[in-house]
Amino acid sequence: MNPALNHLINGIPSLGSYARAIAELQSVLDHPHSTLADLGNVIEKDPDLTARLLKLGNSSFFGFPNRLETVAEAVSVIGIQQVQDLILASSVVEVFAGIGADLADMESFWKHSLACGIGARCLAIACQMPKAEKFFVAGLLHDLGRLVLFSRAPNQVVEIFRLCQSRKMLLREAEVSILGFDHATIGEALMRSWQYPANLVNAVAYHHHPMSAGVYQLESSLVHLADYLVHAMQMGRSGERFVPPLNEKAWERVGLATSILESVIRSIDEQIEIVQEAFLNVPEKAVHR
Amino acid sequence: MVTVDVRNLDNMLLIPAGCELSDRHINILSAWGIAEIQVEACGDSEDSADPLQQLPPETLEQLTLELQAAFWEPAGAGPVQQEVFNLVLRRRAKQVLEQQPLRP
Repeated sequence: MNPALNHLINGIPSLGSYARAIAELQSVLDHPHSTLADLGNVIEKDPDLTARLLKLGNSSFFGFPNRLETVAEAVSVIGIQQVQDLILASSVVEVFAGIGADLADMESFWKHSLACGIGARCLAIACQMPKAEKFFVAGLLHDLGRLVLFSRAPNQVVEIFRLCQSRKMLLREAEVSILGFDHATIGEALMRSWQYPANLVNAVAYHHHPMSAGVYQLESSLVHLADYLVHAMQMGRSGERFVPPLNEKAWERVGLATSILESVIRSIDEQIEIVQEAFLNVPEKAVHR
Repeated sequence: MVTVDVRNLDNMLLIPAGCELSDRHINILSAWGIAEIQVEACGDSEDSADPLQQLPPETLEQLTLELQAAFWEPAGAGPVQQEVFNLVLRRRAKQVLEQQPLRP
């Protein structure tokens, strides 16, 4: 790995205060006689996680017709893998919760990331992809590399923004010009070091070049399209001042009609507030600097 | 009114037939990615006017120029870009109207 890239990502913890919950969940899952109540008990040990899960489970994000009262109910209708994905997403938000507002409006940054996650999930559902929650996580993490830059290389971020201001260029082009690599490469390297699943890693790595993602073209295309849509809607800011170019082959790859776009936008509008509340209301613990 | 039960991929009943559609139901449909259901019109309906038609031409032109400047590619670069641009323009026009209601 490029030494500068390695230096940037070295030592960033992966799971924050959720590491214990995730390890215990895995241990319960590995046990052949585990029940949903056992899984619920593990999650309920963390009141913050419980509150997030029930808030999301009872929101328009899932749209279940009946109210979920317990974590075990939530796990049974949302699905174990999906719950793990949501915990993973919460943990990353927590790890980077301490970044100051001097470089970028972080509330706006997270709004963009969460909206991209909602959009990618909606598009995945429209494509009838199984386990759509993983696309929420992929969308949420697509600009993970920028979080690394904000927290580990603030001076270079200032240079990158200055270069963008002085010339008409995309932020990722300026990143390559200053660093030799862009935020997608940083996000990919960090997620690989965290041993995240290959579909998530590749969706993040190729979200600007989805047709180069090999067997993960569809995953990358869904994140690419959601990112384009959210930039166009001006929903939050990633740091990029332009709506980035759209790869039309990505649209062909997902095989949806353009008429779906309006309902995806409506879903993002409807869900963003509750998702922001569920993910960004992070307690002051395990903050990474 | 919904005329046929609406179910998700797992056959879970989301909206029963006979139900009058509300905003909550629309949210449920969006959340499950259901693009079409069978309905029957009932009562009076009030179509909301197209926000693009309600804006003065000069305001619409200014909005269009502002949005075009925000896109790296021209809005008409392809059918998807065009559709997204139109949706975003309509969204911005609605926001402008909400901020500054026009006098009749």
